[in-house]
Amino acid sequence: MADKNACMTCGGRGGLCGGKGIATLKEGVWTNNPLAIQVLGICSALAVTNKLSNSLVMGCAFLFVCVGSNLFVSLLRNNIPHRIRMIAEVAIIATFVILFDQFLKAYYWEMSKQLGPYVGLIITNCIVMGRAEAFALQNPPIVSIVDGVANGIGYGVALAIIGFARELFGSGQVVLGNLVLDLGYWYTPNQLMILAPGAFFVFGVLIAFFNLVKGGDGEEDKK
Amino acid sequence: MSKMRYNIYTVVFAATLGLVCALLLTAATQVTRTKQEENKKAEEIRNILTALKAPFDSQAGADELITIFERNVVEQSLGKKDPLTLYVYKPEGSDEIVAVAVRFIGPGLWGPIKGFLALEPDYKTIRGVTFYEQEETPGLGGEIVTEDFCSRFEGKQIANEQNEWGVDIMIVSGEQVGVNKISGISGATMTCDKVQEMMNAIIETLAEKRGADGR
Amino acid sequence: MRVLLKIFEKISPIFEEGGKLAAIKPLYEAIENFCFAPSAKARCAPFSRDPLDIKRYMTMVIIGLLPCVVASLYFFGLRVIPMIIVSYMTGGTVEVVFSIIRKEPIAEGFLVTGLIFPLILPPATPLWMVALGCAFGVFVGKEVFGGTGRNLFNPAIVGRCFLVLAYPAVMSSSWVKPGHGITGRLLEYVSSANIEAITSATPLVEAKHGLEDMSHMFMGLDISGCLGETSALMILCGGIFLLLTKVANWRTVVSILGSAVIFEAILHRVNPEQFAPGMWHLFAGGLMFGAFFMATDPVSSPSTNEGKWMYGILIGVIVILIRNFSGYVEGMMFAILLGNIAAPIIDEMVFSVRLRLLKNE
Repeated sequence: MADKNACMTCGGRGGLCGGKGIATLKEGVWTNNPLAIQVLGICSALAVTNKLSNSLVMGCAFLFVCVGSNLFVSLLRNNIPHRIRMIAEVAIIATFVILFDQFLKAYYWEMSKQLGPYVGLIITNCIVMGRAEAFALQNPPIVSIVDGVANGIGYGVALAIIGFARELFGSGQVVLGNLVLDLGYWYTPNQLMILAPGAFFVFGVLIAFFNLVKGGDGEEDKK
Repeated sequence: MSKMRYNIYTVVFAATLGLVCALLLTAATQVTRTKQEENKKAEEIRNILTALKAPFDSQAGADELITIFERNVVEQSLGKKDPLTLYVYKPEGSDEIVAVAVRFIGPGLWGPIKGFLALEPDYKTIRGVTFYEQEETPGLGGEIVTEDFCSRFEGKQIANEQNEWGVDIMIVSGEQVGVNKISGISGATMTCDKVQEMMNAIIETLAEKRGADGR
Repeated sequence: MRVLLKIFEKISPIFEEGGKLAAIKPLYEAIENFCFAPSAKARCAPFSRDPLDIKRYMTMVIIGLLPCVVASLYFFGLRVIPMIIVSYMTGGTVEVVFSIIRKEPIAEGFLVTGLIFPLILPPATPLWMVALGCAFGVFVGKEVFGGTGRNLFNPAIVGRCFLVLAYPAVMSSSWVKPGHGITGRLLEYVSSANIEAITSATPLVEAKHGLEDMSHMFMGLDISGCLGETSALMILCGGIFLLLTKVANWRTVVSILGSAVIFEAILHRVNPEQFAPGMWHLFAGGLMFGAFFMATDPVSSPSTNEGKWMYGILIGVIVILIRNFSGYVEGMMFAILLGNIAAPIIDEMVFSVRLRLLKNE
């Protein structure tokens, strides 16, 4: 997997990422998780997480776009005129998003239909834009890729957790390819979980969990 | 860099970036276009075949579906003005019409509903119904896509005992229903009303066009 | 009573700090308070001017609800009792757990929520759903916001809303045909297994096919619906009691009912074919029950008098809009929730206008 390679290459002191690799990875996945800690990109998190499979594909799309845009923004970081840097970033992000969307439409039609406009809406996802603007613009390409991977995984895993919970409680079973986890006939599916409001409750629990485990900078400090 | 040169550089950079992105996307679209169109067509065909009760492998890919469709189903247009497309099911090798299907579209409760209505060759008995592209309330109106609901239409007539066109979707539990009465989904009165409305519209159009065609 | 007081005096030390059962002190206090006057006074809304403290306030509401409970027993049978018990048990458990975690005394507000909640459910709602809905309502509707007095929404309505969205099919097919005659269904236990008694129609559902007779709707005879909402007469008995004791604010009630009836009457005038008469809607569904017992909740409604008028009109108009122009036949639940959301803003607006007037003087 790409993230492992990236990790190995930058593990050594003063490696390809200048020693920033693991810290970057940890930051994106855990301490500064884009969804659960920064609470960004909620639109798609609420809309597509009604099924585990949808969440996973969305996570992949996000990973692809985030890595791609981070890489290219980072490569061009010394050439992009400051005045139009935002527009340039959006153009790069949009290109990757549309590439992925076209690919889904051609080879995974069913999935593309289920995700609807939300793959396209990654263009407006503030996490991608934020990473490009805040990280890739100041850092060399390889560590930018690591950052993209970290955020992609952080976002994707958070989506997958929400998707899993919603599909399990919302339809009584989780289907992923040939794997089926069934709660059994005694369980009455909770339709609220399938609806977008259900995502809010799961999402709230997820944020609470992250804050609880991470401990710390929530409101408890203020007491 | 002087201001003038910086401006020119900005424009050139923007133009180049735009050009590269545009080229990439055009290439991607060109490569995937045929695939995408096939997928779109296959989805429609899947619905038509299901309504017509034509046998097909549910795992079949897009191109297989298109072949099955082309071999078994003939598209006919009915009426001279605004022709209505009929999908006539003649199993391969025989000349006998087994069923016909028409598409219907109408507003649902939250968004448009599309579907196909298939009739026996007598143009009166319902052979099958499918719904697709609906956004009804999950668990209530959304149940229209289930096999359980669609199968309630099978064998019903599209006209009542007095030969008045139209189906009637009733939300009454445990009551004997008439030849054109279909039991609806309890709790989804609005969706059922809309479905009834759009189906009756297509039934009337069909009757009208067939009358005009002098068949 | 004196004997009881002595017992309480005797056992109270073990609940004090350092005592054996100090952890469940809130539980002890609640029981003591329920039997005698509470020792602590309210610190936040519902505010009380002597002699109306929270406890007496809640007791009044419960007395006001009694006619509806009696009516529901008559119309829908003995199943009402387990529903109320289950609701009290689950909601009470959540309440007790939270007050122990917070080390705060148990607030009596729950006594009302636990009784109102089953009254706004369809009669054949499965008991596990009553439990789940009540627990959800108390947890998300109240405890998450910080407990009694800090809730944004009416907890009972949050619980019902959860059930309606989560189990729409069950909720819309759990209506029971009401009993009639002298005993009604008083001697029966009707559950969803009893197919003959189950109907899918309430007057609002049936409205498209024909209107139920208004005098029936007033008395609640032969009217299916949620447990407590069917008999307008019984609601009036309890509701007027609440108005007379000033537990429910008349401004809220009058503005909700008035605006709903007037708005519907205008619609009816415009197109009598499509819209039912205003008075008919007054007696249909949960409009009256909600206006008297739920929208008047002092915590989740505005605290200024002008605000109460605006709040009431907002709810009344939304109910009619939802009933006539949306996919739902009954809109009282959503209307009150929306009203609850708007309540703090309404108060804020009233305050800022008042301030501006003061400055100009």
